Amino acid sequence: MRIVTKLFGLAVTAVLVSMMTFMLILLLPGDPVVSALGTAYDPKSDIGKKQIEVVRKELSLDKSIPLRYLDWAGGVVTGDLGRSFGTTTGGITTTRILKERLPVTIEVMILTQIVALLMALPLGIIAAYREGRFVDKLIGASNFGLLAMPNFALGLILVLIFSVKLKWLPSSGYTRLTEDFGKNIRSMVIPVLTLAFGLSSVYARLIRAEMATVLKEDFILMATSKGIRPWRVLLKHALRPSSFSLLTSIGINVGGLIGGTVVMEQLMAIPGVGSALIENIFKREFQVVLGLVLVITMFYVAAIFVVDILYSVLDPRIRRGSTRA
Amino acid sequence: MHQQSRPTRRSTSRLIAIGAISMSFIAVACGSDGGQTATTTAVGAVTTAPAATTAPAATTAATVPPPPVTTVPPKEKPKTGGTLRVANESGVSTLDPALGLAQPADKNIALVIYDPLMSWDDAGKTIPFLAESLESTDLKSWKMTLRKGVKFHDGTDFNADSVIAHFKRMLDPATKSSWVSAATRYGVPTKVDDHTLTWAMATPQVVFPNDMSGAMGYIPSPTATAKDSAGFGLAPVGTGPFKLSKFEAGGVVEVEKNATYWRKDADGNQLPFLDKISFRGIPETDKRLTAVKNKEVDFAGTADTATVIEAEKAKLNVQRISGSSSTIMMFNSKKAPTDDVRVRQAMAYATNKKELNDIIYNGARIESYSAFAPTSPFFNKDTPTPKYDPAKAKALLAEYGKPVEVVLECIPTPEATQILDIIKQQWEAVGIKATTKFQEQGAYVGRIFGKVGDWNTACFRSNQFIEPDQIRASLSTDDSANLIFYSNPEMDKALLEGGSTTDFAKRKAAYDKVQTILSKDVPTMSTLYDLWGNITNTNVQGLPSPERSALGPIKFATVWLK
Repeated sequence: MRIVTKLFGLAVTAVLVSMMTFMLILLLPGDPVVSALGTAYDPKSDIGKKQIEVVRKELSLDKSIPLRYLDWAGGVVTGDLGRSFGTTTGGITTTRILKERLPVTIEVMILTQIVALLMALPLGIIAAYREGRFVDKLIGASNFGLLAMPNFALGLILVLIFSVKLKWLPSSGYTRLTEDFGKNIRSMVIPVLTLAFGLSSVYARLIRAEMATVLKEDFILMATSKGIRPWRVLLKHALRPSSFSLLTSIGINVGGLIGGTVVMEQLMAIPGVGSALIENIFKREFQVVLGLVLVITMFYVAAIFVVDILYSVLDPRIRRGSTRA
Repeated sequence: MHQQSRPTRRSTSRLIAIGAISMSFIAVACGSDGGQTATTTAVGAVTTAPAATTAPAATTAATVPPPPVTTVPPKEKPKTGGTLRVANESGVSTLDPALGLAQPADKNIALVIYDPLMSWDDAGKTIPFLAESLESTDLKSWKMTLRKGVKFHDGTDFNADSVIAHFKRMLDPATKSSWVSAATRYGVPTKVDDHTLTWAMATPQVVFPNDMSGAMGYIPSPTATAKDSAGFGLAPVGTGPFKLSKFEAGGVVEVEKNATYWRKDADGNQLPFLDKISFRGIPETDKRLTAVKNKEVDFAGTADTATVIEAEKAKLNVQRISGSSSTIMMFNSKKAPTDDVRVRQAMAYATNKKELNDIIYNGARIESYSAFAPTSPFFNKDTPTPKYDPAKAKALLAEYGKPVEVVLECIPTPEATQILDIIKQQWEAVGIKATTKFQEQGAYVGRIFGKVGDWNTACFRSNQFIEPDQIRASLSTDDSANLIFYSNPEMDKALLEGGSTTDFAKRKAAYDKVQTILSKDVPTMSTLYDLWGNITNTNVQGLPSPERSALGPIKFATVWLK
């Protein structure tokens, strides 16, 4: 029942977000017909007028705003996320854009999360275990440094070291997993590290903060007094109850990494969803923008839904309906 | 940030790719063949040898040899095979020639898939290509014969029906073709036989052969366009040296050798030499250069002067291509204060182009004082175009007698920001109160093309057209392409004269008049000629000459790998 309620909430969120995105796009300055036709826009000649009519009809501009939204929403339900209509974009469907670009973005997202966690877990645990000591302060300072450094700056430094100087890795571009596994991994190293460093510092701080509190709990004292080895106490007893904030952050970053890595994509010439979104905003392809935003939103919502479910796996009290301490 | 007084050259190079993409789009908006187009030599050649009508080989020969191909350097025997990896400044969105092919990247790829009906030789003269001949005596009635035995990649025969279908498609409003205005002037051709067509135009169209050399003359397969017209740009089929094998919008585009291609090079070698070309977009100009240096790609183009210089320092092969376009400031002729000619003149006199060049481009570009490039036979060096003279600017403003307040507008790229900041300070030095405003490309272009007319001065990129008549639309009274609301009956008359004859002397006189009026009226102000660089590793051979490359997109048919 709880899941059903959450699923219903998920659907409502998606509808609300799509409505808001639809409204936001209406606020954009400039006539979409002019943007679509570019040099072909000619409201004076007969054929120019006909072209304008064609575009107006294609974009449902001849209908009221609610009807236009319903038209679009009806298409979405049947799997039609719209298509580009401008003379510079040539009728590509949003579905095709997603088919080409989503796998790239998902790969970046998954690898980034894995690498960030691999970096963050040991650092966060050590920092919590050695709370207030030199190691904790060193890790904290390093995390601050990484957090403060913009992604693009870190990316450029990595390119300078690994591509320009050492020539170990490609300076840009993406090879698909299905084409060449080795090349794919090599093309992923710099983008993933660029994104993972910043993320790992957030994760490490979350683990450290939560685990430092957990380590002061009675059940940990009990475990330690029983003579259980420290690493076992940390990993088996303390880590699970210290993971709630981390889990939430991972969930939010699933959505963030799907649509919000534009700078890295631009810098490394990675054809991901974020850059597709920006390109289509600039080209006023609002049907495509709507479709992409909807999909990105769904990733956010789905990730948060999964996190909610995982909470109850991590904490039996949630499963039983009681509140977490 | 926007108020910095001395921007450095390095800061320009960082994100210039975005600017290049944006500005290239604007360039197309001027109605030419886009990015790296007309060179100065080209303009004259078209005029001295009007269109293809006087090319004897083209008009009389039963079988026409393939157009001559000049390559640099044409020393070694070309090797066949291999994959050329090309880095463009953006990914490609559509390869439908009816849609205009807005970005330089689109053109690069389109020209390996399609063949144009006409083309330019190294001197810029229009010559038949997929056509065998093009003739006209009055510039209204045109007769074109087509090359025989050519097939599209899908096996469809190339013939008169394919050309007719292309024109019909451009004229279909559902296609939303960028060429609809020109196609309306030319009309759908009449089929005489399978390989002969005629056009009957209402007015003389001296620009027709030139238009058939650009994207408008790229002929798509009628079978493919009939099957899926809206989606054709994503699955293009032409007669060109390569056929599409992979298309990822905004990602990688790959083409494979067309084994039955109809052309041979000047030495009789079958074209193309390469097995495959892989194109991808790398938006950052620095990264494109790094990719060539690291041998991740073999060829990269750049519109950034600093990158051209850096590539030369790195001992890479660099073709410098200059004079194909220039950055201009447009003045709104119907909105105060730029509706007053004295204000426009004052702005031109107040602009120090040398300073712009030195600060932003390290002095590598050439100052521009004309709508024509300096090597064009139509370029009149004696035209009294305003040159930097702050005293004159102040005097003109004093004569105007009212405070002058303007907003300098452009798209928000680092390059545009620098240009506008410097011009703003130069204008302020003579007493013009100037502010800058930056608007993202879509809205900016929408406002300019929508002819909203709520702006005073707006940046633009203008091409130095191969065919001077291409300037006509942007300056003719009430023409839809006249974005600056400029109107001068004398100018209309001179433009009409220049565009209605093939007689060089008459045209020269007409375009002299055009330049004189332009220098007095100052409806726009040209600043610096752009500099384009083709950067390659030393293994890339057979590139067309820089002069040829300046005429239009790079032709990869003759390229081979050492």
